[in-house]
Amino acid sequence: MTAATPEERRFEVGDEVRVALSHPPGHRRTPFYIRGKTGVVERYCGAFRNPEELAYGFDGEPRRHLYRVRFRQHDIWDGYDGPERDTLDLEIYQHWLEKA
Amino acid sequence: MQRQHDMGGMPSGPVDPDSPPTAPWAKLITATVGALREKKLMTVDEMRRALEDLPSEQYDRDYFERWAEALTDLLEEKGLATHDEIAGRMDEIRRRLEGGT
Amino acid sequence: MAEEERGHVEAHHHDHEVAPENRDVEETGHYELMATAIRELLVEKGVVTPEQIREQLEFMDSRGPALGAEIVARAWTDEAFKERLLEDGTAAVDELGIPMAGLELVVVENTPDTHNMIVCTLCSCYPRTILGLPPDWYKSKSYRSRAVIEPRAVLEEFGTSIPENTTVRVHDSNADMRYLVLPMRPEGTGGWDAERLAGIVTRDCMVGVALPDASG
Repeated sequence: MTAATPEERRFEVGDEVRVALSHPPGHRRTPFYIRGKTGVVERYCGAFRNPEELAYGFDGEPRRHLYRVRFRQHDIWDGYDGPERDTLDLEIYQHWLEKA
Repeated sequence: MQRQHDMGGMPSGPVDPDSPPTAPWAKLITATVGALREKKLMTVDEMRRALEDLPSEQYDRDYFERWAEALTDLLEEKGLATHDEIAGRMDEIRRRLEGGT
Repeated sequence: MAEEERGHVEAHHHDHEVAPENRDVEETGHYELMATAIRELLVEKGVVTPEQIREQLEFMDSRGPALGAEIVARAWTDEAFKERLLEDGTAAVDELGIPMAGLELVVVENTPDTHNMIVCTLCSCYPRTILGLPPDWYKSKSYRSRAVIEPRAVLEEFGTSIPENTTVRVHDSNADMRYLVLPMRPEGTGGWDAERLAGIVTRDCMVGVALPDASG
């Protein structure tokens, strides 16, 4: 099977993005705790076969753009017990992201 | 709605930094999964999905025990070996061991 | 640690080659039987060969924290290598003959401003081709659930205190990247060569739950 062209890339480093607040059933690589949270794109990781499809025996094409997004810990957790400067980085596929 | 494998932020006790060496059978399970992946007979994503879908009493077991359970589920799904065949072979090996000592 | 791993490899191969008949029934647990049953069935059916499984075991046994320590010590003693390592981890470790097996390596550098630590909350993603199999604590519910929400408390449980004016940056490793922490080279190691430096770089330092200790 030939690799399909990846979808169009929508985000750049520095963009503020929101993770979809969505809870679809099945295999998902976006952790529950980060859904609905807002962060900043820290790096573009490349286009990869979609794990949500690969998990069920499909080929995962077209490839999905993957970004590393940085969040402030205080924006993720109510009452985070640490300084304002603490952060968390996470890889998120484009179809889980929207412009904030 | 937060599924069993998706643990970030869940309440839990202190971390035990002790880590005994990996048992030979656990390495064998890992190697078997590796060989099946190498032959493109399964993906790591399918393995993760099988792990996440385990009943909680199996998911809560030791890491490699959980892997063994998920692997048997995937082998059946893919028509490579059934649970009955595996259970039958386990009985056979047990008898072999009992006869051998 | 390297010696211990090597010892383990030999023990394993020895064990692997002894016929099951010669082993103590009492010691043969349910999952050990399951692993053997699966291997026998898949080999008999021609799904995998014994050689393919052996290759996997040998590769697994050849990976361990000593490889990671070599990478870190090289970065501490070779500024140009360090720059390449931070720019493109996969290509830089490939120079040392260490494969990433289709995954991308991201090396994150500890500085006086930022301390990095790695977790995988969804499963147990870990840079296995560099550090070997993950330790039990990395796969535990405690670590996976708490490292993201209370990283400083978890670090304290490993005896690691990070000052309030240093950012603690948690990396939840959940997709196609694998992460390795490049610790800060400790004070008082000025005259040390790469081999001696590698000796203080432990697995836990490269996951970011400990700091290298040059005092011993």
